[in-house]
Amino acid sequence: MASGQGIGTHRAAGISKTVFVITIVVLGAISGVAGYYFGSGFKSGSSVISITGAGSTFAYPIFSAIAGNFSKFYPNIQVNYQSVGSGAGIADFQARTVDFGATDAPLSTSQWTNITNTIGTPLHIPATIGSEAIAYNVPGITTGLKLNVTITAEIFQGNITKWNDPAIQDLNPTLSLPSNTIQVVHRSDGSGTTFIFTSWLARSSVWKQGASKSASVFPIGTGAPGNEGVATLIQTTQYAIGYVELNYALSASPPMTYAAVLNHDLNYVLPSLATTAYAVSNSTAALPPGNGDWSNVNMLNATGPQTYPIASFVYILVYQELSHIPNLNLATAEALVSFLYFTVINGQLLASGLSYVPLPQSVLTLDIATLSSVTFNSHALPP
Amino acid sequence: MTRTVKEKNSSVRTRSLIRLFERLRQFSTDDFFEISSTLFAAIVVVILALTAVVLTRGSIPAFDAYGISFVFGSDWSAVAGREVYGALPYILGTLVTSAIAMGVGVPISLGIAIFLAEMAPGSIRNPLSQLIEILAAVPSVIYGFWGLLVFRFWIVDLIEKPLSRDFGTIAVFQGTPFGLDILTAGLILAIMIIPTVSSISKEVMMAVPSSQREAAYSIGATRWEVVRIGVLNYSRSGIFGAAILGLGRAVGETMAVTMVIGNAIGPAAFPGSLFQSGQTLSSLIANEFGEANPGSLLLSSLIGLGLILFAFALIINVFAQLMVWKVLRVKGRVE
Repeated sequence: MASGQGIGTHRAAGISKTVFVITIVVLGAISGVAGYYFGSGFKSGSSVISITGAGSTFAYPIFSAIAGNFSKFYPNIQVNYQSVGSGAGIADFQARTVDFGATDAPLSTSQWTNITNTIGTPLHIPATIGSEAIAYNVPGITTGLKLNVTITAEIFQGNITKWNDPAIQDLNPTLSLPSNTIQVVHRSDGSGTTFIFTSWLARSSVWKQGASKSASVFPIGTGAPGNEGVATLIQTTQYAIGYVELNYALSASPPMTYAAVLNHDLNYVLPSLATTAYAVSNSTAALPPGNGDWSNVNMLNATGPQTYPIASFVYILVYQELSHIPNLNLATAEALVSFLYFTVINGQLLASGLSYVPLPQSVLTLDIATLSSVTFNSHALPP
Repeated sequence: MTRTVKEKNSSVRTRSLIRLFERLRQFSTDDFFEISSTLFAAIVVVILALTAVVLTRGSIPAFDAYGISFVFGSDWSAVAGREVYGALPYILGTLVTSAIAMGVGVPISLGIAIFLAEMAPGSIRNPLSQLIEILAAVPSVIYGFWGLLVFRFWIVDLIEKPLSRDFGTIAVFQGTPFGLDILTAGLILAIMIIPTVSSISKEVMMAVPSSQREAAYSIGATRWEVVRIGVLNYSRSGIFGAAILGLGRAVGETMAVTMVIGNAIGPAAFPGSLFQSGQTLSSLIANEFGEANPGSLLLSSLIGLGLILFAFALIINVFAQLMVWKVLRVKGRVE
């Protein structure tokens, strides 16, 4: 009897404890939910507008800098950019789950036709310029390596395997190249960077692999994920060679060594913001209108004595008629257009500080013309 | 007439309502507990079934296009116009790296477990066990980074260069050692499975009744003999289970492997030498997934790799279960 009572009181205490815990949890949940709703209500009023974009990892640093700057001028507009890769950016753009996409390679003709026919006209807006350095790590050779497209293709295809191969030595008579095996490093993840680099290699008749975003385009070599992965691997591996986006090469610490590359005018040119900008300014004459098919646009091997040959645009993709995106209202459409103008115009001021190449005036003019053609339910949107 | 029917009907309804309330009143916490936990248990089955269905459905285009050569082919190219996908090099890469991990990691883990369970005094055992459990909680990307920036050079200098110098003519030691290869990936995996295998083995050994040890001591066994006869023998199915859990982690591990295995692709990824870049099923999925367009053959092939990995997991677990049963049956007959 006594023990029964003991159990009874014990249980009663247990239940009240349970009730207590449940009460705490429920109260916590209620206050959390309330805080979530009211908190965002207080923070934003009802007028916070959120814009989402997705795509190019290469463009992520500059897009996040631009978005941060933009929110100082437009505190009620929030820009979310997800650096998921160019391919995923195009897929999200096509699925209309984001307001804009960003890609290192333009839409292919079939993608462009498909989107135009099934959804509506996509616009290409060049937002910044990328170029690729061929970085290497050969002890004793800190500067002065020269390469051309044929020999680079042979190296990345595995036809040339030693640093002192006669073909390399002929280009670099003043360097004493070692007899070590070349360690080829490439991206292991699918990447617009790989696409641009292999598009350049495909300019050479010896390159048999075609141009692709996929690492499977390289028959040999070691893959590392991301630009930073490739940069780290080259820096830590003797006798390595690989390709990285220029801003990674310029901002790497310790500094990376990279090759001068033979250009269209038969000069060996080191990659820099200036030599990359020449590539753009010397090839803008042939650019299509923003609502056209850009699949053939590239700045590979552009003319000019000091032009670096491996360069390309990073594009923002946006629909000409913004009402194609489900649930997009007029306020969001206006905010998106303001952000795009801001990116094209003010973004260029941030570019060189982050080792991106600013767009030349001719491309800016084209971009602004393209942006002014954006509509929402057929009404033009002011800047 | 109609009225009475209605009344009758309503009274029937009332009665059934009362019965329902009666039921609900009798519906105890125990019933609620039983139903909810059955539902939760059913979720496991549903998730497993859905995973299998989704993976199979997603990989149908790849199997349609390449048939069985999707599994046994060695070429992998996502270049438009020359698309071909074969999974064999990555299946072998997964098997070889996991085998290295098991070969190196399990003996070390057993040593740790024996020390903790049988030899260490409580003042050492408890803190050390805690440390090992913390090691299990380190995210794999940290192991990957450490492997890429630190561990790789130890392996190159201490293991690969001497082996390459003295035994470089043997096939498995061929190639220029530079650290991003199958050996490094296997050893990183070995380190990663040690916490899991050792802490579970320790628990299993601690659960061995002390009568086992006392019996062994009483017939004059030495300390090692006590561990071997009394403890290891008694707990081997549990230890086996711990090793299989480790194998599960090694087979599926993605991030750390991607960072150190070198990510070779196509025929170059065949694990012919320990000093050569390779690729596993999971690292290839991680590498290629981001740029695989919806509806493409590449995406379907990657899902196909996922299906193979899923099948691996099933086979490993079924095999493990069979082994455990066998061990138990043999033991039952002996005892």
